[in-house]
Amino acid sequence: MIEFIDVTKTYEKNAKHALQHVTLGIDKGEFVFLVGRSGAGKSTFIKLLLREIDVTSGTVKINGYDISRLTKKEIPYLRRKIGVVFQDFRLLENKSVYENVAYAMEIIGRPQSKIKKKVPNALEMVGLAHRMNHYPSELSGGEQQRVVIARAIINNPQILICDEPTGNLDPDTSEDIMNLLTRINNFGTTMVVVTHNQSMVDRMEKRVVTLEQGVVISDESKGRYDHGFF
Amino acid sequence: MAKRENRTFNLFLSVFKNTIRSIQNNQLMGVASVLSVGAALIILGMFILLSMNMTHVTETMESELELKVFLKEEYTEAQKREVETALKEYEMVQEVSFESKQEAFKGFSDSLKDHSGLLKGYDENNNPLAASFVVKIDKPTSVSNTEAMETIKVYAESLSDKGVDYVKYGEEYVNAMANISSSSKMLSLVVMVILSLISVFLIYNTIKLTCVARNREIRVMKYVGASDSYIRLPFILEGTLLGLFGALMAILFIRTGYFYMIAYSNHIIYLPMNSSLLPPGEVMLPITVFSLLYGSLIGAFGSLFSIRRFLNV
Repeated sequence: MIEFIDVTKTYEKNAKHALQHVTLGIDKGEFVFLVGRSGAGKSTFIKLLLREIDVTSGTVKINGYDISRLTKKEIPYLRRKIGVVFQDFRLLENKSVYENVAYAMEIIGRPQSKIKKKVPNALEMVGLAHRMNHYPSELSGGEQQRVVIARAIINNPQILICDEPTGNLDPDTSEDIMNLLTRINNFGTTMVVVTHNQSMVDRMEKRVVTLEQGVVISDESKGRYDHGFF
Repeated sequence: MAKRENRTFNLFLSVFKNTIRSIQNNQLMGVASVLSVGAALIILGMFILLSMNMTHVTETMESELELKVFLKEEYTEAQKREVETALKEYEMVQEVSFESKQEAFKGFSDSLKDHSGLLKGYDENNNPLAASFVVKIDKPTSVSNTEAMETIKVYAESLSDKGVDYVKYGEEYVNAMANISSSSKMLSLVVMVILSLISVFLIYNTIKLTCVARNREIRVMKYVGASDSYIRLPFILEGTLLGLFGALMAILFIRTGYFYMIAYSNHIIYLPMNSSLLPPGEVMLPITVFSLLYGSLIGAFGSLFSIRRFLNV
């Protein structure tokens, strides 16, 4: 599903490698935690996946297709296959919960009839059907995050990338969000989750890839957060 | 096929909705841009009116020019006849008519009307004016009026041994007008460039504010996989609309202003020789077309520059 083949990324300003010779494969339907200190290269990894930036050397493939070969015009179609839940990628305040999710369908030109059918389903799935007409400011942090997730999956992405999905949430709410992500994963969506939430990673017993200074220092199925740090 | 049209329509509908909402959210800056484009276009319009009228007046003047061949104070009847024949035989000369000293005096004092006091002490028999031949020309279209006049002038001056004193056709007048006319065109161009830059900059800023205000939305659109043109369109539409509103404002203003100017022009400006200002119907069409085009282009370009930076991810 996702293949990084000997990928190196250097930002021109400071010649330090953000990623160095990273080779990594993620299968369809896998659930992978990406962990590491700030500056370890996690964000670079995600940006490369979304083709926000280009590799310095190496190849990134999605579904066997080298995404560096995509033209600027084709990039949006790549992004339609990938849902994102970012920490700083919040809801639009002037739109209701329903509108926020519907918006993601509107802007890729889905007809209203489909939107009206799908949005309530997605909100049902994240457990917020009853909050449909509320505005983001009226929701708790956990509820907002669930709307963001509903928005990310509304167009049926094959991959869901979550950057610190539980960053600002209390442990109970974090647990809820993780359960939700697991359920989405069970429907077959490939899941890449970047997190600092150590206890969560340890408890989930999923594959853990640890990055440090741009290098993959460990890659364990049923791994633990602290592996490689100590 | 039907499905595809439907999708385009859906996209357009949501783009349009976004544009209107954005203008509503950003009213103050929007009004400022409309006013600035409007003001720029009003000033530009005035310059265009000025140079159009200048050209018009110069042309009227030129076409009404007549060449006068003045005779020396003491000319003989034989000389007069000789000059007349020589002139009539020359190329491009259509008609030659004689104006005696007395006729010249009468014509001049008639033209002074209320100011006839200026001629106190002079009368038809004691007057400083000279007798002359008035030459009307018939020239091919390839030759300009002034050029034809100049040729005949040189020829007539060569007849000085036959009693020709000097030849005039108002060349100083024409040259001065032509100079003013061409420098007003030049000035219009310079003003247009400067005002265009200012307007583009203002629209650029307005749209930049819109971009900043909608930064989050742009990111949502990008990450969800909206195409670049879809993201760009509402901003360009917004800029174009602002430019068009400005243009409409300017057109209304200039229309009204020019109308009154025509109505009062007889009292406030002096126009040489029977020339008049161009009728509003003749100037408003080019000005309207120009303003609408200019306004929308300025708007579109301003927003294009602005959004380019924001989309660059």
